[in-house]
Amino acid sequence: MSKKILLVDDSKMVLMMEEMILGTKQNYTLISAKDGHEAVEKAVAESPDLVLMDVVMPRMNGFQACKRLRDNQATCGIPVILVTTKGQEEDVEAGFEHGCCDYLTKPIHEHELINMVEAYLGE
Amino acid sequence: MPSKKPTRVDDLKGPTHKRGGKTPRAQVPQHPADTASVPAPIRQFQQLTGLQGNNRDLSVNADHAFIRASRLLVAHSQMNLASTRQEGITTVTEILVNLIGTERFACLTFHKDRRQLECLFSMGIDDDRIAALELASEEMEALLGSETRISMNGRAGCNGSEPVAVVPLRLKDEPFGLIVILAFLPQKNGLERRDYALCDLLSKHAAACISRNASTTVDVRRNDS
Repeated sequence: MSKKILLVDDSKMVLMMEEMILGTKQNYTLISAKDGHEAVEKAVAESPDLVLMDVVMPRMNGFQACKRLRDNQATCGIPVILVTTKGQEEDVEAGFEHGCCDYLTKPIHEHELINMVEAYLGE
Repeated sequence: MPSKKPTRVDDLKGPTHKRGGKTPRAQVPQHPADTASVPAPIRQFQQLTGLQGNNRDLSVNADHAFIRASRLLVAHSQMNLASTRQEGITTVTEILVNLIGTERFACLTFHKDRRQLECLFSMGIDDDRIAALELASEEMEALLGSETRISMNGRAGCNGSEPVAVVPLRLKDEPFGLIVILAFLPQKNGLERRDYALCDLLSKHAAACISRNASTTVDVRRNDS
């Protein structure tokens, strides 16, 4: 059965790269959002199986969006992986405090991303 | 993170060999029909890529090759798509930050008339440091026509006074400028092997991307063809 993944990043380049990497897996349906606000809306409307989200974004950042998803009954069960350049220990802690399940730092290592996604989607 | 299914010990074993026995030879098709049954396009693909195996193996190998090349493909396509100078600068910045993992850098262009470098755009560097880079023209000038230069102490977390990498930029085979990388993101330990291909791509295409206007784009494409 196809799994739906919501990709959230304000960088077209990062979205394109994630789509290329995960697009090689035929059983993934990929949807995208360009900021935290749009991500929350799409998560409610589409009920994805997994969210990959950047932190530094306009309108609503990844931490805030993550918290919103956790506070909403419809989306509180969706695992969120933060994918960000912010790799300092305090950033990672802040990510987990806001409810992310895992933390992946950029630059993305292709197979690390695939392995993490597969682990969360039970494959 | 959920635990992954443990790897079976059998999966870790390589091919078994009997001690003292003959080394098994590589499997060759037993019947001429085996090679004849491979469709011509697949044979051609195998010859071009060096990938061997049945259709499923080929598909998996091609996926791996595609995934490995994804950063280069994305960077190349985005640089080609940038239609204005500002889009070009944004694209090069994104490549440096998101794909290579750079925290502090400056892009300098070289003015032949004034024989001096000027900062085109930068990130995370204060004005004094930029001025110092611009004045270091003699040292930098020598790098303009060179290959990608990586500093010996090119590690993240160094004090930032010495560039960890310098990427010479060329436009229509002429020296255009330099990207001077002063620091990587904290989680990045230095340039990796896969980053060299990206630096090479920047060296060849970033100048056209950040100085883009209609005539530049047309000229560069005409030269390529």
